[in-house]
Amino acid sequence: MSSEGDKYSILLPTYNERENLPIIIWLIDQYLRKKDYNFEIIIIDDGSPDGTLEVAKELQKIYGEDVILLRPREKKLGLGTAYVHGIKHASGNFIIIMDSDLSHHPKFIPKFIEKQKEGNFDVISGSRYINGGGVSGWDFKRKLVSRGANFLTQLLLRPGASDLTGSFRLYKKDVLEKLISSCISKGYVFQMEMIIRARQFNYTIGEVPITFVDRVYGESKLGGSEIVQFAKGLFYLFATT
Amino acid sequence: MTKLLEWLCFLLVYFVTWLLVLTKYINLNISDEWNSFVVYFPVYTVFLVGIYSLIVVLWRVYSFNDCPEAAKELQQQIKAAREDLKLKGLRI
Repeated sequence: MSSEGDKYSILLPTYNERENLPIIIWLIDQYLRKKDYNFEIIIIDDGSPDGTLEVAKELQKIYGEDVILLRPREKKLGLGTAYVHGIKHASGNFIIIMDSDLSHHPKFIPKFIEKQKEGNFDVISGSRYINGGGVSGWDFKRKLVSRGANFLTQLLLRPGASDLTGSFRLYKKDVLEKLISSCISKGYVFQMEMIIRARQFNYTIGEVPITFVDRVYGESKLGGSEIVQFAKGLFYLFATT
Repeated sequence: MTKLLEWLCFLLVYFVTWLLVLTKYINLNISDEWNSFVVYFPVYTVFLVGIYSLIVVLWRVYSFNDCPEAAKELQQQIKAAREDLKLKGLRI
C-alpha cells in the first residue's frame, strides 16, 4: 500500500459497456497494482440494458469488494449527477474520472499521480493537444472540428489549460466537490465549465499528454447537435465568466 | 469582468482609436495616398486574423499526432486481458 496514505477513487460511469468494462478494470489493476497505489474503482451503471451490471458483479468477485464498488442507478441520468453520486461513496482523497469506453487508457493514471505529487496540483487534466498527446482513429473532419473548436475556446476563454472537452482528469476530492456544486452546465460543456471554474477559484491545474484511441468509428459522436451544444456552452462561459 | 466584457472593451478601444485617426483628431502625418489604407484598416485586420486562424488550425490538424502505436498496443492488451480474465474465471 502507498506509504503516503493517499487513496485514489476512480469513477467509472457506464452505459452499455459490457465488452469494455472487464478490459478497463483489468488494465487499471495492472497499472496501479504494479505501482503499489491504494485505489478503488466505483462503477456507476445507469441501468444498462446490455447487462453491464452483471459483468461488473462478476468482476467484483474476481478483484474483491474493497477494490470494485458498485453504485448503480435506475436509469440514465446526467454525467454531473453520476459524479456526485460516485463521490458520496468514495473513500479516497483523490478522485479520477475517465470514460469507460477504452478511449482513455489507464496507463496514464500513474502519470497523473506523479504529476500531481510533483507540484501538489489541485487538478490534473489529460490533454490530447499538447506535445506527446494525440488521437487515433479520427478522420480529417473530426480533427478539423476538434482543432477549430479548441482554437476558438482558447481565443475566447483563455482557460490556461489546453484540453477543455476531454474528461480524463484527477482531482483532489474537496476540489471536485466544490467544482461540481458550482457548475451548472450539462453534458460535455460540464467538462469545460469545470476547468474554467477551477481557474476562477485559483486552483492549480497540471497537464499530462494523453493519447486518445477512438475505437467507435462513425459519425455518432459528432452530429450537428453536438456542435450546437458546444457553441451554446462556449458562449455561455464567454458571457458569464 | 467577464470575457465578453473584456472583448467589448478591446473592440471599443480599437474602434475609437481608428475613428480618431480617420477623423485626424490623432494626426499621424499620414500622406494622402495612404488614406484608403486607414479607411479599410478594420477590414485588413479581420482578413489577417482570419488568415492567421486558418493557418494555425490547418497546421494543427495536419500535425495532429495519430499515435498508431497506441491503438496497436491497446489491441494487444485487449487480447491479453480477455485471455487472463478467462483464466480468472470471468464468464462473458
